[in-house]
Amino acid sequence: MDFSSFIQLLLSGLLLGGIYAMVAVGLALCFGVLGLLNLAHGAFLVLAAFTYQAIHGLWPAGTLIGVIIVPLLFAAFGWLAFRFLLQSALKRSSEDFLIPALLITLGLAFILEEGTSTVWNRSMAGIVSQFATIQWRQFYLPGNRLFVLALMLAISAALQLWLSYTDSGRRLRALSQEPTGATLMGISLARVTGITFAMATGLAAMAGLFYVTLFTVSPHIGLPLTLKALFIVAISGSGSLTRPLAGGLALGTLETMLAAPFGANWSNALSIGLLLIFLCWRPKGLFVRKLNTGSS
Amino acid sequence: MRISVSTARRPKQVFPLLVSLLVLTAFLFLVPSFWGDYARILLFSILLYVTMALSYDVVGGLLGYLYLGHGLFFGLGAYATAMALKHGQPLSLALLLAAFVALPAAALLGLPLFRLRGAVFALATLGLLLLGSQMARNLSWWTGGAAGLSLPPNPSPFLTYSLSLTLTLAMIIFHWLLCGSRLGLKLGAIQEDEGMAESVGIDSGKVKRLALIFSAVPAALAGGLHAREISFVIPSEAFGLENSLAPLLMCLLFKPGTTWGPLLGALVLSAAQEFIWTTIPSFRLSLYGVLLIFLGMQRAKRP
Repeated sequence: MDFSSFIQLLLSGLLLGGIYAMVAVGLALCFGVLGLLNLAHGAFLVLAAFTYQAIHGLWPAGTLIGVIIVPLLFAAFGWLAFRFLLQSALKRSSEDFLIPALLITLGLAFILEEGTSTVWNRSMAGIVSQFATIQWRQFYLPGNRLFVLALMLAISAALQLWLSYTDSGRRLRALSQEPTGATLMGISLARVTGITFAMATGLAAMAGLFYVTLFTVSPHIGLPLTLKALFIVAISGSGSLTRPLAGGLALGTLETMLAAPFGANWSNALSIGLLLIFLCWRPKGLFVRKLNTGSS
Repeated sequence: MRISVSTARRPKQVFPLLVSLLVLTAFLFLVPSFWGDYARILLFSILLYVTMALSYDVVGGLLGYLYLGHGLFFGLGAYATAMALKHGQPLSLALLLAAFVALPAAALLGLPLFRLRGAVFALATLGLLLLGSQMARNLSWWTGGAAGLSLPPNPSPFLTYSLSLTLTLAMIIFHWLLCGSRLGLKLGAIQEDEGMAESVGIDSGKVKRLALIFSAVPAALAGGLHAREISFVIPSEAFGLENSLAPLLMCLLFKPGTTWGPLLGALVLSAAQEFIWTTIPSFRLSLYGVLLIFLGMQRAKRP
């Protein structure tokens, strides 16, 4: 392989990493910072993708509006899901909320997946790309992915600033670091968690919008995507919203480099295999945060 | 989660139970001749569900680990059996192959898996299931890829049915014996307090790996029988999530850790499924989803 092909692969990998980072950032917020494992993340993403495609089909000029409305809609949807499914369990769990969260969100993931599959009659979704491919010297950079990467840089920075410097961000950090102390200080576990979950869902929806312009989406990729995002969050370390960007870029690059000789089918197997190896090697690495009320 | 250990071993209590079990078995053997194909197929699937639920219980109920990978061994058994059958082997040999594939697989996988506990363990087993499904798709020159393998139609449905009945019966007896055995007690001890169990001298790693093997082999056999009955294997079905979720829900519905709990759960859930399918087809995953949510909410209640 000559040098310029290698660079092309590297660039393609980084651009792929941009969308992976976007898929992961919602989960990084929800699980990495707060400790709430949301296995329905991918299912929300897929549903958002199909919804956006439907809107786009009905109303081609309204794409920009769709980009804003769909994430907000899904944020509200996520908040409702939290309020009715997770909140009471969260308040009641006297120890680790991890397993109940896992079960409830897994159940939700299935319901959403089957719902998506049934409503849209088991078809796939895909939207033609909006941006042309840019050519820089001898390398080709798909405009769509470049846009996503740029957007991700902005979003990661914005989220990290929000987390570090705003009051609501501080509340979230306080809650994740020391739940008992935070609740004693008057920070509402239910409200902060609900808002965080809603934000995470909104981010998942946004990732879904862009994902559908880059790839063909089937209703069944929800759970594998969630695991992929989980892997990115795991290797990037919890508690940060900028490091998952790097993690996503790394995974995207790795996948693209390996897809060249081995074929794209192996990229899914690769991600899951890496996640498993990582889990077994560093079992504690995945779950540093414990989300509970602190009461017993 | 408390387990209950069956200590009834006195002949007076065992004898009527055994007799009724034998009568029931004899009755079930004769069902196909009287009630025809639909009854046979229905009973076949119920029997497999019972086997899956009880074998799941060894890890999910007695040991108490939330375990999402049961479908992996079902799929392995299905593929192993299908491949053997494609090469012209008789069914019994094919099933034996399935067991011989599952046993070392479980032994090997147990080594890294049981370094994990709790939610991480559940996630890892889920990942394994998805990996199995993906690999079945990828290794297409061997497994037939996404289209899978197809077999000639089942030459003797009665044989498949009898084998499944035998398997289920053996599983019930085995589970019941396991509950009261030393191994069963060790599993219960690990569930109660793993650290304490180890300090008493239980080699928890070995016990857990053994439990995984005892859970995997019946699942593989069930998978093999299923493959023979429907005469094809495809990745989305053999390694499907429902093969992991159904036993989980059946086991945890009533009283995990007992023999009657998963048994009753399997009967109830298969009946519910059958009823739902005749009225609202293809909502199986959603049904499981709803049940999972309830299960999760319930788990949050217990300290």
